Amino acid sequence: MKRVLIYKRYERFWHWTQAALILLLALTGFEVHGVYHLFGYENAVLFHRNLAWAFIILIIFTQFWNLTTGEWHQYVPSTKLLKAQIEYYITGIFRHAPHPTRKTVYNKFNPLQRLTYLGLRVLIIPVVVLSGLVYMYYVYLSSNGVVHNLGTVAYIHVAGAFLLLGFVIGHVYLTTTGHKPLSAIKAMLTGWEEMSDEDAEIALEENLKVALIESRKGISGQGTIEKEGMFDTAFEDVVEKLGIDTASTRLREKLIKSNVGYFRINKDGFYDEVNDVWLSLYKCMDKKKVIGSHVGLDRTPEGKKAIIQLVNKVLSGKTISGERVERVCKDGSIGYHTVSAAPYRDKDGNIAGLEGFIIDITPQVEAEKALKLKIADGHKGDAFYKLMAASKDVGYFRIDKDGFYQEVNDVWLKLYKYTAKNDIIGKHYSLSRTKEDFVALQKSVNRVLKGETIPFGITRRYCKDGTIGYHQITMTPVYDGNNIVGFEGFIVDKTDNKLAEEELKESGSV
Amino acid sequence: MKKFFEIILIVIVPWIIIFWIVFTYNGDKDRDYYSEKKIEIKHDSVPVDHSKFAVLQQKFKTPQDMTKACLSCHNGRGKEFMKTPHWLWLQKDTIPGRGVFDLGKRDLLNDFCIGINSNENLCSMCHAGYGYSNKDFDFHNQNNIDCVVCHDNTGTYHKSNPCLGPDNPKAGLPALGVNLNYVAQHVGQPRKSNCGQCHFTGGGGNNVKHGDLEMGLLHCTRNFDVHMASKGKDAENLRCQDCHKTENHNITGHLYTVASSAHNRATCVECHTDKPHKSKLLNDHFKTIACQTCHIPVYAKGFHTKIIWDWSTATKMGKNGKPIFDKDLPGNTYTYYGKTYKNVEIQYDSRHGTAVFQKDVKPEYVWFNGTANHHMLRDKVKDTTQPLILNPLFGSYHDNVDPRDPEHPSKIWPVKVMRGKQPYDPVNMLLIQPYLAGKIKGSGALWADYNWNASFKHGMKYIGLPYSGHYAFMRTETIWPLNHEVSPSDKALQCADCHNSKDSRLKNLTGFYLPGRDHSSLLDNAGLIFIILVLVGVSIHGILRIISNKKK
Repeated sequence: MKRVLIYKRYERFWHWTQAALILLLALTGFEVHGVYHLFGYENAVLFHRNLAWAFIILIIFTQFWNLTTGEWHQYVPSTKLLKAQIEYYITGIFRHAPHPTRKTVYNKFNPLQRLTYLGLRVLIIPVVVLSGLVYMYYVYLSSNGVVHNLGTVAYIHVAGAFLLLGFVIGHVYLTTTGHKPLSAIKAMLTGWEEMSDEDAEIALEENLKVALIESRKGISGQGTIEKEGMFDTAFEDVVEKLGIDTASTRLREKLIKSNVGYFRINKDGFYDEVNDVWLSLYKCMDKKKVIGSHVGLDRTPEGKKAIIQLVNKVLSGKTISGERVERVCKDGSIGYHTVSAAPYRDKDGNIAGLEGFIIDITPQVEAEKALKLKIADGHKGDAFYKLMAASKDVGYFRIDKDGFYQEVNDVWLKLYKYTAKNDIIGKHYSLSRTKEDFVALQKSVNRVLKGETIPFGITRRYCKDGTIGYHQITMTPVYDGNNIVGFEGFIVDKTDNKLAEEELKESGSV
Repeated sequence: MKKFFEIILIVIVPWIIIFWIVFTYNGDKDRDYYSEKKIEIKHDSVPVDHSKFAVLQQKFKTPQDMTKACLSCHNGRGKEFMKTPHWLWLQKDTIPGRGVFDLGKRDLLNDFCIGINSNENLCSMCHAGYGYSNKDFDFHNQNNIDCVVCHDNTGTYHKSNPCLGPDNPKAGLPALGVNLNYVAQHVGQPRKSNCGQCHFTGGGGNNVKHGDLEMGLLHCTRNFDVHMASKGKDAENLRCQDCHKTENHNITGHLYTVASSAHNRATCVECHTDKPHKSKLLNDHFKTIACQTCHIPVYAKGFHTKIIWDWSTATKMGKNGKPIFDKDLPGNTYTYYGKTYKNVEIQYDSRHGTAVFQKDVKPEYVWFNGTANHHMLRDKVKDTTQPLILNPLFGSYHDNVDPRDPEHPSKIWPVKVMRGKQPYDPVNMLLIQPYLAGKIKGSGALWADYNWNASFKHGMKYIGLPYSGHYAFMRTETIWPLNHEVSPSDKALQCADCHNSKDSRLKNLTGFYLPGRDHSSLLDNAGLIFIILVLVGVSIHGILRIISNKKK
């Protein structure tokens, strides 16, 4: 069981104040309706009015908070997983099926809640509040001829009250469906929700992911927070606030499941573990044959020497990252990858071996070779373009001298998460970049437009769906005769690499 | 520990602050509130000593001589007074939708002693004049004005009651033994007792008629009447004319059993304004609720008032064959046409029939816009199965809420409803004017002969209307808006007296939504079923979860 931060302070203040207000409004309201005698009619009316004003003020404050913090996004309804959520409450919960959705600080509500709360916010509460105000000022409104029938106003108000009361009952009941019966209520009080380990980790992951997106929005000015350095602070903030004990086992599992090649080698240089990605990169289908074999096996002599050097470096306690390594695959072909590795330790803190990941860079190396040919040719011929346009691993782009996209290939589209070329062709390359990223890139572009070829700058991209990615970019000028009319190049995705490096950093420190 | 403080700070502290404000703050204040302490009552004093006037030293042989003496100084006052309803027993008044009529005792019937015509000898003991014994009375002779019945300050003047003995003068003459010189030398502005001798005792005894006007008002505390209280702390001891402002003998205020239009009224707002409460919420009630509705929670506080008069049982004789006079009947409940009246006194009298009296009566409530209709002498009776309302008050909820009609601001008023059962002619479909007051056997007077037919024949002939010789009794009602016996504010009606789903004072007023009283059973039942379904739903869901947890 772990605890994850879900509710912010203002939310908790708002929720409990509103809860008390609604209950007291119901209590006084139904007395005014003539159901029972409790406070006395006059007091009930006065209290109900005061409570109503407190409620209205709270609503105004909260909507302001929702707007300024962007929390209103959480009320945007979504049909995604809605059916699953309903099914969960109808059948899944009795079969002890997992919750189909997870609570995170950025996604507090499941789709059913989103729909319900939105309904409350835009329909029931406004109807109750407005009918209540008409009720309150009926004397003036009726003498101005605005309304003529207090009964209708009252019945609308009462109907809304019944719906709200029904909601409160259902709402209170559903709080018991968390990890433990009181988990949700405790979370609403303390902000921290108890979850199963699995849920907590997923929640953490979500929180991290959204923190990145949110911070990007802040930087790029698309979102609501415009603040320098938001990326780092948000990231740290989330990690710190979530306060989850980050066991190395979790990170290892994560790397094993990821789409980078994972390996673990014991201190004697023998493979303890590799994942499927590693196996497919080395093109050996049999895991059993790899486990237990030595790291120097199946390498060129230079390769063997280099790898043993690296292994020893890590075993001495250092962390390596992004070292370029040549590999000989099982079928004899040669591939290239980068390797990053960190030592791992046993309980007592002694280095027990090393683990790390490899990322295939073969397409990149091939693209580099094609580029070299192009430069050697004096930028004549279209061999480079043909290779790039057909590439299934490397993204290609051509941009005119004013900075507008002229051509991109399918890989490029995929990396930036665009669906059609028309979405991007004709647009300026500053799109999907932060201002500072753009300024940095523009310097390089100016150099390219003067005839230089710039290899392997690493840069950050913001995809169409708001996610963040990293790639290496290589840029070279495009000539028409002797004039430079634009620039072209290729990008190689490094997102997995970057994220894996972060993980590794964490792992190495444990 | 940090979290504990955080919870206190985020949840508990705001609760304490917000709910302390919510439960103590009273935002219900009217900035235009007009305190009753600002009201000033001016009392004019009479600047002269009448006992010094030579004209009042003469020995008055007749009361008319006295009046002549009064008018010798107060010239012009006679002509002025002779225009008033106290003299004419009629006034020009407009019935909305019908026209202008001479309305008054002379041409209206009620469900007490029914009508004055042919009974003037008795009735005119409350006429501010001398000698009004029949319809031929000269209403233009100012010497017949009875000045002192209103202006006597000695308390020794009263009019003769012919019922008390055969020698007593009739037709509003002074009682035997009244020293007219003494009275004439001690006149002044009317006192409560002057007005009260007629207005408290109308209908034949203390508080019989109005219910909110009784002898008790002469010496009462604020609990009895906040305005006229003369005993106890803060007694204002107001005189009638402090509210019923009077100029040139034109007294403001009129009663809707004999009046019909909303002019010349004496109203609460003249002193209190329309914002007399500190509470805006209460002042907002002014639009729909007459002040009297809340502030006269109960009437007939001191003495029983007559609420039912069943003439149909009159003329029955006792076992000895002789008439029964003022006999108290046993029992304190009376059931009349399906409605049971509790804590009542029941009297039988061969002359009057059965009468039911009640004390500390809760008013009934009607919508009233300040105008009334009247069933007049010549109006035909249409439906004899239902009570005929002799002075239907105009007004309705819609008359109130329609903003286009500011002339008819109907409000809810407290009223005394007098329920009668009185004679009518089923052939001519006319209510009957009986000849009642007479002692001479064979004259046709009911109280001499105990013969309905003879009484009706005489009475109807007197007013010039046909009588078929057939008679029956039908239910009638008169509606008496209540204005007096105003209770102090702490005794006024409380919210829940009306805003109450079980026993609302206004339960008989329908056709509009009254918060706390009204509900839609459809909506409430649907709401209740909805809540029950939610509860049942979550209970079943919860039980199933517990069962499935155990299985696991």
